[in-house]
Order: sequence, then structure tokens, then C-alpha cells
Amino acid sequence: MEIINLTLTAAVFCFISLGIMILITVSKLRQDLSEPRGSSTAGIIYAFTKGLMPQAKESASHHLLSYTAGILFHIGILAAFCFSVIIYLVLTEIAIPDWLLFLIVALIIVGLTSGSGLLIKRFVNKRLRAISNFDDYFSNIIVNVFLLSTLIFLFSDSNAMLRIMYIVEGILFLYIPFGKLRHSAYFFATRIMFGTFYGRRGVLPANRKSVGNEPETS
Amino acid sequence: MNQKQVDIKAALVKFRELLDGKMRVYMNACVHCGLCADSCHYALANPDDPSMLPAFKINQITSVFRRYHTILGRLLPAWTGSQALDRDYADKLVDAVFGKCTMCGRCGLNCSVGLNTGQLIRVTRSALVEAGLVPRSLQATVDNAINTGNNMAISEKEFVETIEWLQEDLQLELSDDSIRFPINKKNANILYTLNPREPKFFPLSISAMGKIFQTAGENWTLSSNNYDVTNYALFSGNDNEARKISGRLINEAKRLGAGQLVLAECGHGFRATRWELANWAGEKSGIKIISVLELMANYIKDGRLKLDASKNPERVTLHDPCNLVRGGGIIEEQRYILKNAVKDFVEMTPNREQNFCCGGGGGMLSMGEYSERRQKAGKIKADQIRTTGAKVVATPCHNCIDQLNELNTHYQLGVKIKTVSEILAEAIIFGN
Repeated sequence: MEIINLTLTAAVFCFISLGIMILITVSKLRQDLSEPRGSSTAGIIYAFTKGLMPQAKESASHHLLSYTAGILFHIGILAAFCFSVIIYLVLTEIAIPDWLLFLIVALIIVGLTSGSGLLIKRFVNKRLRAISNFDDYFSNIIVNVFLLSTLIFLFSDSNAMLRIMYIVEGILFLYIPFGKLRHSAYFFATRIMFGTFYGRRGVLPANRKSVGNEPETS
Repeated sequence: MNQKQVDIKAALVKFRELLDGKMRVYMNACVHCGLCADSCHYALANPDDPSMLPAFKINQITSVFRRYHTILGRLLPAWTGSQALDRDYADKLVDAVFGKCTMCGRCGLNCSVGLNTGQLIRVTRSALVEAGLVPRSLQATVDNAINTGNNMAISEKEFVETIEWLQEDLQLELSDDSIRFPINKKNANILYTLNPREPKFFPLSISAMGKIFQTAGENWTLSSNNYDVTNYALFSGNDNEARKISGRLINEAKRLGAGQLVLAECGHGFRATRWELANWAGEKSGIKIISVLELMANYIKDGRLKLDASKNPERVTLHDPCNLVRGGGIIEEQRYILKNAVKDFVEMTPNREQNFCCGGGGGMLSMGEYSERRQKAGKIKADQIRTTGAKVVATPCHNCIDQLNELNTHYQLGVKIKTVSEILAEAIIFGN
């Protein structure tokens, strides 16, 4: 329980740090004074729905494998975080259904495979190497180690592995606000800004029937 | 570069000042996935050069942010790849943000996260302006506009004479002495702007608009000295100069009591005045600002122009200017006009907000030092045009026209490049 409490403390530190960063960001936002042509709300809804689909962006449609691996990697991370919460609940004697455990194992395996694949790609691909620094490699590795330690614990059910899993998770939480992993918070802010920009200007969501702005002609 | 002494500290102060909420989000959001490569005409034209990748250029910018605005970047610069801004690095940034990017925004639209790369590039240009590192040729264009009222330094006398000559010419062509090209007329419904390239090199596009206004029965006017729709300070990154240049149009429209300001076919000019000016000025413009494409589409919709599409029998394709379409939201109007005015209209692939930049944006046309790169990056546009089999390329932007004319020669496309209004004017049926 001592290790879990330390990890919880690291998690609280992480969330508070990210929260402060987002608060600073929000406090520095400037109002757009131009007259809107479309709807920011419609743009934001688009950004989190259709705009995330592969057909909406070349980064996904031209690189379906990498895009899918990225999504599965993140789902695996979410599953591993959920599992560590569940284990905490188990230790306080709440039962976990078998199907849920099975689902978590499956998601972590797929996530770990995807994350490892993306790491290998970063090492091997010349273009990716040119835009990578130590932070990029370490961020991927620490997350993969977290997924791996969770997986090993799931199969070994040993107390030692449980401790290792929580230690790795604690390190991960401590690192998130400092390195590239803080994109976990900024991603959502970016999508909101993406939707606001294109929505307000009437670019997205696309309205193929819109013609003219009803100008006042004599 | 400018003769002004280089001041790196000033660049850093400006960089900090420009870090509003939006910029802080963008600086922290890139995950270095590199999936933007296929969306950039520079990266596609130079597949073996990683420095052309949008993510590489963004990393060059964010590395300065990390160095001065993150804890890990300050303590362990090698770990995060953060960079102190010194003269050498500033020169690298100049090459990246002025010489390898047209701020077309296509990579941002296709970014896996949704980063607005064009805005990040412009913020960096703004910081480099403070350091005195704007390419001299680009700054010269801005200086012309600031000092003379238009970027080609056309004198008021020369401009008025050109307009009067065009008026007489159109009167003769249409055998109608009542045709007027009004200048400085008070309380007109429309103050119409021009790209200074029109009176200087492409007067036919002014004649075309004269025909359109005449046929539509519009109450319009030009200004004799505040007509320049372009704004190269959008590209240099100097907000003060950009505000002055676009602000003159608003002031002139108010001075003349015009009902609305109609922006000519100019991608970046539209974006600067319609979308960015209010934020540069810190207040709403207080006057209706529209694109001439919206106006012409409405003339057709309202039946104010009668058209015969057979007068434009050749196959026509459309190039979408980035700042007008992706950055400005004027997407369907030009299609509506062309579909009504030509016999055979065909789209490029991809098109609309996904269209590729021609390579002439971002101030590239004024920066001769990058012209070789510009031609190379334009190959994808040349290929797009060739695939359509079109004989005419329409584009509502004079910067794009200049670049497309160069691509036409360089890649031997054998097409004619025209504005949308020139094509529309050809299709008009005059009289009853």
C-alpha cells in the first residue's frame, strides 16, 4: 500500500501540474475580434468527431497503419491506467469480473505491440530520426515499460511485479508534465482550437451548398 | 537581410510577448509523428531532405520555446533538443520559416493533432522581424506599401490616368458612353479594391470588373490612393505594419461613406483584411467586408448578370488560393461562378480546403533568393493542372497568377491563367 500511495501522490502532482499549465494557457487566450462566417461550436464538434476519422486527414488516410497503431497505443495506455485503479480497488476488496480482466489484457497487449512498433519506426525511419530527441524516445520507452510491467503482473500475479508496476507508473506520472507526454492535455486543447479556427471561418465542417454571404447590393 | 543591426534579444522579447494561450498550446502539442510529410509541397518536392518536413520546421521553432519556457528545456537542453537563440540559429530559423514554408496551412489541416502550423511560422517571422532578420526583398515590398500607399509604388496621377484610359477603352468596346469607372465617389454602395499588379501589368482584370459592375447596375467606386488590397506584412510578420496597410482600406471606406468594402481577387489580401485586421487593430472593423467572389456569385444568383457559358468553350480548372479558401472560408463561390460561366469546368484533385499551394504564397514571390525552391515546390501544382487536361486555369488571386504563369513556362503546361472575373466578364450577355 505504501508504494500505491506514492504513485497516487505522483498522479496528483501530475494532474495539478497539467491543470496549472492549462490554466495559464486559458488565462492568456485572446478573443478573436473578426466577424465569424461559420460556427465555432460546429467546428469543435467536427474536430472531435468526423475530423478524427482517417478520411478527414492525410496524416491518417496516407498512413493508416501508423495512425491505427497510435490509436491502439493510446487505448492500451488508458487500459493500463484503468487496471492500476482497479487493482487498487481489489486491494480494498472489490471483485473484478473476468471479462473485464480479459479485455484489459487484450488492450494492453495490442497497445504494447503498437507502441513498440512506433518506437522501432522512430529508430529506423530517417525522417523520423531527424525530428526526434531523447525526450521522444524516453517518452515512448517509459510508457512501453509501464504497459509491459502491467502485463507481466497480470500473468505472474506476484507482489514484486505489482510493486514494480506501481513504481514505473509513479515515474511516468512524475515525468508527464515535464516532457513530450504533456501533449496528453494539450491534444484536447489543440483540437478545440482547430475546430474554432476552421469552424469560425466557415471552412469546416464543409458546406458544399454555401454560396455568397448575402451582401447588401444596390 | 535588413541593414538594421541584428538584435537577438529583441526577438526573444517579442517571442515571449506573442506566446498567448493559442501559441502555448501549439508549442506543446506536436508529437513528432512526422505524418505531415505528405501534406507539404516542399516535403513532397524534396523527399530526401528532412529539413523540408513541416514537423522539422516546427521542431526548430518549438526548440527555442522549450529552451526558454520549459523547466526540462532549461535544465537539460540536450535531452529535449532545446536551442538557445543565437545569431547562427536565428539564420537557420530565417531559412526555415521564410525560405521553406508558404504558411499555406495544408499540413496543419492534415496534422494528426490539428496544430496550426501556419500561425506558428508567422509568430516566428514576427519575432525575427524584431531582430531585423526579415529578408530585405520582402521588407522592400512592405516598405513600398507603407510609404507610397501601394506595394508597386504607383503614383496617384499614374493610377488615375490608367483608370481613365480603361474607362474610355470599355466605352469604345461596348459602344456606351455612360460607362464610368468612378474614383473617390462619395456614398457608393461599394468601395472596390485592387491588387496594384492590375493597374501595372493586368489592366484587363480591372476592365472585367468594370463590365461586371456596369451590367449589374452597381453603385461602386475606386479610391485614387487607398486601393491596395495586398498586405505583405501578413507575410513579414510585422503586425503594426500589417495593421496600417489593411487599416487604410477601412478608413477610406468610412471616409467615402461606402456601404461595404469589397476585396479584389487576392488570397492573402482577403485574409489580412477580412480575418486578421480586427485582431491586429484590437477592435472590430465596423464595416462589412466581403470578397468580390461573394459579390459576383450573388449577382448571378439574383439574376443581375445574364450569362452565356458557350462564350468560354475551353476546359477550365480552378486553383484554390490557400489564404482565401483554407484560411478564409471562400470555397464554393468561385465554383458557382465558373459553373455558370464556362462550358467545361473540371476540378483539380485534391481541391477546396485540401488543395495544394501553388508555391507563390507566404511572400515567396518577392523573395528572389528562394525562387529555385519555389519552382521546385510548384511541381505538384503543375502536375495537378496537367492531369485535368484544362486549357485555362482560373484563380482568384494575383500572387497565384504570377506563380502559375511561371510554372506554366517552367513546366511547359501550355495553359492560360486568368482571374475568375475575367472569365465571368467574357460570358456576360450585354443589352436586353
